[in-house]
This record gives sequence, C-alpha cells and structure tokens, in this order.
Amino acid sequence: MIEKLIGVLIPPAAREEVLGDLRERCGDGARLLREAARVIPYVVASRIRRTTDAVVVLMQGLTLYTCFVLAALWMARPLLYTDWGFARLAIAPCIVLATVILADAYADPKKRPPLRAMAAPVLGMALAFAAQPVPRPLMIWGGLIGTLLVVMMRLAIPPLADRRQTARVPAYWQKLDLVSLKMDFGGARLMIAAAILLLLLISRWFRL
Amino acid sequence: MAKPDNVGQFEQLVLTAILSLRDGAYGVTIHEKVSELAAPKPVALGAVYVTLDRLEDKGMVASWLTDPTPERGGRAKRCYRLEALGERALQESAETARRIWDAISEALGQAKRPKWEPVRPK
Repeated sequence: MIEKLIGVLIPPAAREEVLGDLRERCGDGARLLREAARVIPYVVASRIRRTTDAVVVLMQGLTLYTCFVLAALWMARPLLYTDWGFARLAIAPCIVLATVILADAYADPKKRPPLRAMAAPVLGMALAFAAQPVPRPLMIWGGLIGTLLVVMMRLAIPPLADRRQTARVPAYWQKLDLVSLKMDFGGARLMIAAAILLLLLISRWFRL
Repeated sequence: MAKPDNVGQFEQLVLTAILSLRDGAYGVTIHEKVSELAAPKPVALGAVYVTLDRLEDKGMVASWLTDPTPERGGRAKRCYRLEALGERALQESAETARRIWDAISEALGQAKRPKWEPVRPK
C-alpha cells in the first residue's frame, strides 16, 4: 500500500529504478516512507529540469498573461485601476504554467496519447477556474483564448519528451537555448526578475 | 574531438564512483560509494539521482535497465557506465587536482611529501 502510494508520487520515467532502490535500501514500512519523502522532491525537480523548456514556458506565460490583460482592458477595466490589479491577472497564468510543467514531468515517456498537448493546459485552466482569482467573465474570455493559444503553441512546439529525434541522444539536447539570443542564464534571470518587479510596480502605483 | 563540459566537485565524486564500481554501478551502490568518498559530509540519495540525470544529459554517462530482481520488489535497476566524454572530464579534473596539490605542497613547504599521481584503474 505504502509502496503504491510512493509509486504514484514518483514520475513514471524514473519510477522503476527509484522505487527499486528505495525498497532495496529501506525494505518496507516507515523507513521507506521517510526516505521517499526526502528523495521524491529531488527526482521531481530533476524530471522538471529535463522536460521543461524555459524559453517555451516563458512564451506560454507571456501569451497567457497578455490574453488576460487584453480581456481585462475590454471587459473589466476597473480591475486594472485597483491595487495589485495587474498582479491578480498573473495568478491564473501561473496556475496554468505550474500544471503544464508538472504534467510534462509526470508524463509517461512510453505512452504518447494524441491529446497530451491539449490536456495539461485545459486541466490547468480548470484549476484556475476553481481558484477564481479574477471575475468570471474575465476568466472565461482570457482563459479560453489563452488556453487555445497555448494548446496551439504546444502542438507547434511539442513537450521535450515528445519531440521527434533523429539521433539517439537525450531529448534534453533539443532544448531551445537562451545563449542563441545572446543572453546568458544570469541575464535571463535578471530580466525575469525585472519584469516581475515592473509588473508589481505597475500593479501597485500605476493608475490609468 | 568534443570538449567535455566542466564538472563540479559532486559530479566528480559520482563519476569516480561509477568508474570504480564498473558493472555494478546503480543508484544504491553509487550512493554508498559517493558517501564513502565524501565522508564525513552526508550525501542525499536524491542529490545522486539529480547528478546522474545531469551527467547523462551531458553525455558523460550512459544508462540501461536490468532485469527485475526479487530483493527489489520485482523492480529493475538502472545501471550506469562512463562514456568517453566522462572519462576525459574525470582525467582533466584529476590533473587539475594534482596541480592544486602540487601548488599547495610547494606553498606550505611540504615538498618532501610524496607526489600524488592519480592512477587510472584498468
């Protein structure tokens, strides 16, 4: 029972060997549970690193956010005048992106269902709907158009594990690289931090 | 010939463990060997998995699944072996470590100490 529960929490790509190693080291019972609690976060983080393409996630995040801002300009302009209005608009895109990243990490590389590209953003948007961070009409229009665009992006640029490979190399090698945009990782982090800070400043003090 | 990426200290430990374990290198044994090499610092099993994944992505190690065994609850092991790129990275690290060792010995006036020569196991 414990082993089955732990198995569900480990991404399928690493489940076999990690669960086997844990069983060999700890046997069965409470020790297995304690060790699993320590190991699983590392395994999930490593899987996320392997399956997530930062450039694509950034593109998807900006697309979703733009959809929500445009929907707000069209239907709920007063929301933008309130404190943290712009920041509230970022909550739903964050929920969708987190769901997409986790869904890709937990995807089984042996199975490739045709609707995988669609399922994760739709599930993410459903969770965002349940959280309801902005008024319902905004969620419907911003979410609908945003999800549609993200699904199209995922069909055009499939998740890393699903990309066609011409050689027997790790799928990770096909990641888009920020270096090609003349931007190192530190620079990219700085730009993202600056964008978030700008968003918060606009959200707090900017009144149209 | 491709130039190997720089490897960090923990990556060096994992590569060394794989090299010394040869055919018996999988999660549990690699963790035990790395813990032995890194003593007295404790090493998390999860950190070993993360590093193995990263080294595989860099093309320094290769992995394969073995047949399931009963002591592992009928689950397979993922075994690892060093690739040429990993061997070269490890050699470069050993040479750097030797230069550092020589410089330290010279600076501290301990030139009488035997010179450390890393030997590659056959």
